[in-house]
Amino acid sequence: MVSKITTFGLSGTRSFRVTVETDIAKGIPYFEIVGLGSETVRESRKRIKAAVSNCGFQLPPGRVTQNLAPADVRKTGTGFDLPMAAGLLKAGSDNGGSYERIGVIGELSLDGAVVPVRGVLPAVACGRSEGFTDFIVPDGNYEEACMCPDVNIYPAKDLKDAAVAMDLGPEAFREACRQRKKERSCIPDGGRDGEKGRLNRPDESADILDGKENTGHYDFADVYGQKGAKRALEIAAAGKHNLLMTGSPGCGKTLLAKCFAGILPDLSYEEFFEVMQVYSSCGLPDFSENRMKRPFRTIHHGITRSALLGGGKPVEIGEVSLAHCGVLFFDELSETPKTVLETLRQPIEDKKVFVNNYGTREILPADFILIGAANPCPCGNLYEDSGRCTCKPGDIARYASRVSGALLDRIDIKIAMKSVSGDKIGVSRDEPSAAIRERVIKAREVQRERYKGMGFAANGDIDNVSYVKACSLNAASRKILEKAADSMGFSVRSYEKIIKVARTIADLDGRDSVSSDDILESLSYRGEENASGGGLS
Amino acid sequence: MIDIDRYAAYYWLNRITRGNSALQELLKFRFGGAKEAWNAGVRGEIDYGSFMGEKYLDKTDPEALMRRSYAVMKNAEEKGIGVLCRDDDDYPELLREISASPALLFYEGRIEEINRCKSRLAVVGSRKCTYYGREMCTKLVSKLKNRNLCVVSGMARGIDAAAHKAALDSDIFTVAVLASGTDVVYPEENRGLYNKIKDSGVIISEQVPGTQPLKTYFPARNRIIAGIAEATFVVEAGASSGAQITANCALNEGRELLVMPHRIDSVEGAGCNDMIKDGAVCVTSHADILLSLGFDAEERRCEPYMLPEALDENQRKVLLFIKANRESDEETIAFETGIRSQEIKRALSALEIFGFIKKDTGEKYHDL
Repeated sequence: MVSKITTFGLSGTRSFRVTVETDIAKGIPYFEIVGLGSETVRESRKRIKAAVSNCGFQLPPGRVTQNLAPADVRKTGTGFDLPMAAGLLKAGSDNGGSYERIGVIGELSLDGAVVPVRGVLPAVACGRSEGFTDFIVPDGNYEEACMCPDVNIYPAKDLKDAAVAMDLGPEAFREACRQRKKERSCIPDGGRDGEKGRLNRPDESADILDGKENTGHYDFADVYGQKGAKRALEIAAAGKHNLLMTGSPGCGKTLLAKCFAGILPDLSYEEFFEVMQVYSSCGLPDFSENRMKRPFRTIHHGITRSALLGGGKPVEIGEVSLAHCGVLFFDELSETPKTVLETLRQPIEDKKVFVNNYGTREILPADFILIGAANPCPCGNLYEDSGRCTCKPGDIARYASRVSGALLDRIDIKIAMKSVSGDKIGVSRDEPSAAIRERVIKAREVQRERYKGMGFAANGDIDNVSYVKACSLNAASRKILEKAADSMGFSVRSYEKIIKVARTIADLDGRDSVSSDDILESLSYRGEENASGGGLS
Repeated sequence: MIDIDRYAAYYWLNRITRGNSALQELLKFRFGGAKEAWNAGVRGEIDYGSFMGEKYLDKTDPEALMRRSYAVMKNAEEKGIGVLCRDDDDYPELLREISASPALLFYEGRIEEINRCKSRLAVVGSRKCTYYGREMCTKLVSKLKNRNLCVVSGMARGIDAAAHKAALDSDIFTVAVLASGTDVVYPEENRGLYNKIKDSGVIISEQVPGTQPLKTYFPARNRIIAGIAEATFVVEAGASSGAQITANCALNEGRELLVMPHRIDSVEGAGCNDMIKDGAVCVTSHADILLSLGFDAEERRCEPYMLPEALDENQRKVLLFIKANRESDEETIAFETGIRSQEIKRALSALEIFGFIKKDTGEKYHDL
């Protein structure tokens, strides 16, 4: 007798459908799994055997062969335990037959309990896009699975629970799902009502935060001085521009970057869903009240190439993907080995990252705002008052050239910061992040309206063809830009960046067209042009 | 085309006497010339041990030294590098007079111009210079044009490069004295400058062609810079700086020392202020330089600045603030004037476009 169960495998952040086929033939008892399963999949035999007998079922006598179709795709992870055990039971039972209507995913413990696994949300999302509406997931992954709208989720506590649910007819199954949902009334429908309903697992939210960094308590109001840098960050947030801060150690680069997360608008539902899939693939779903906040990832110069971009066997999610729809804060940019740093160029350009996974190319999302922080010279004090910097001139030049011109080209806003001396700290608190955030949200809305149907979200996204149309200049601003090009001498690429940033400034101030004032301000963010192409600031 | 045999002889003489010029003269006198001494050496007539006592002459393998001397000159000729010895007419007059004048000079360019100039000025300063130092160096040097004087410097980063550049731009003959061979460009970023100086000035070195710039060669190079010129002008020097070595060389040889003053709290200019305190000529205008070199010049006074009419309120305020402080940055301007940050950014960009101010490292702004 043959049974068929639908389940899902995970590769990167993407799920794919897998059918578990079980055949029981007569003969000496024997259990084999085929279909390119990794070590974890082959080990599941032991778990299945124990779980089946511990739940009071009889292991069907005979030669058991299980196939994971498609058989030419490598499968890894423990989510196949439950569908395989269920397939075994169904093939052994009298009614047998096909259960392909329901997507089943989950790991088994030896006593038969269903244990949470990684990547449940991508699995449900993948199933939904292929027309499935009914799913059985581990009880521990229930909230996560419910993020996906328009599906019926059955949280299975143990193997028996799952086996019973599978035997329900479609109507009865859906009724059971509704019943379960009612029991946990605070679960939002597909996460749509945003922050209103707090999910019912408050105790776990704390340790889940190693996924998204909690930067909620950082506020611009608490940062004294650095008004220019704050303004630059506001523009970066409003237009999704990448930004580089250079300045001495202790001038506030890291603090400002952490505050930066607080002025970004919340995730839209679509973005939230994408981010959630990424984090679900890593087993780090976030159900805290911060779940609509944008991810903020801090990385340091010690990072390896694969930790940054992702990859490996099986594929791991890199920092660029964990920062998807959020902020990638790269501290000590120029201390990073060039081989690692330069790999950032591709995700910045394409907003996704390509990694190799068992010979197939995996595409992971990586649409982030890069906030970089760097020292201007080895000792860090180049911009400070004279005499503080102890570096040799050659060392400064070498240090600056560690970040290539090609990477700097992809950074729209560059600012130099000087530390604030004690006597210049104002007494009054500065504008709070909330007020800045209001302006950012407004500016983002203007941009969304403008780029409707063009596939861009903000000024920082637009490509080098569309910007001409999107950012039309009036005669006065064109003139000032030409004059600036004459006296400052900058490249076409800089020209483009200046216009994009000016467009964002105009959006922030609620102007329809880019004025000459916007161009003038934008010019101050261009950093120093360097003929050799390299060089910070 | 150079007389290989002759200069090989001079080079060899210099080597076996370990650079002792008196001993070289003695050997030349004894044998009737450098070449004759060489020939005597070839014939084995020089008794290295007994001539003037054992400790003076280098007696380790004189044949190898001869071969090496010949190879050096051959190499110089192949590379088109010129050679001068102390006995040559084109050898810089003033350099001949210093206590440790180089026996041989390798050069590329028109070295004869050095002696034809009415006066020679060495311009030196820190490699890591301030904007003020660099700008003032450019301003002062370019005002020295049409006087038939030449500017000598070391082609290092910072002040040296600024001095050469200003001289080239103002049609002033310029001499670069290198610590490496004349065919080795250091630092690499000055290659453009190097080519220009080779074309319209002269590159000099006492090191044989192909020598890499070692740390120890730089102080020795500085004595040549000071030695060529009547006066040495120190534009910017910290408390311990290579420029001070040059200044000391100039003083030891009895040359004039001119120094540009700096702010009293300036770290980069502390050495300069100290030298002025110790009695160096304080340079506040190009006239000071010209007068000490024996030219006529009129003192010029600083004029109050005129603000152009076209500027708006913020731009005026920002420009005035920068002019009063010579240099400032956005954060300071914001704090002192109370203007909003984005307004300041606009004003700064506009002023920069119109050429009133200039942006420097770390977004510091200077007036022009």
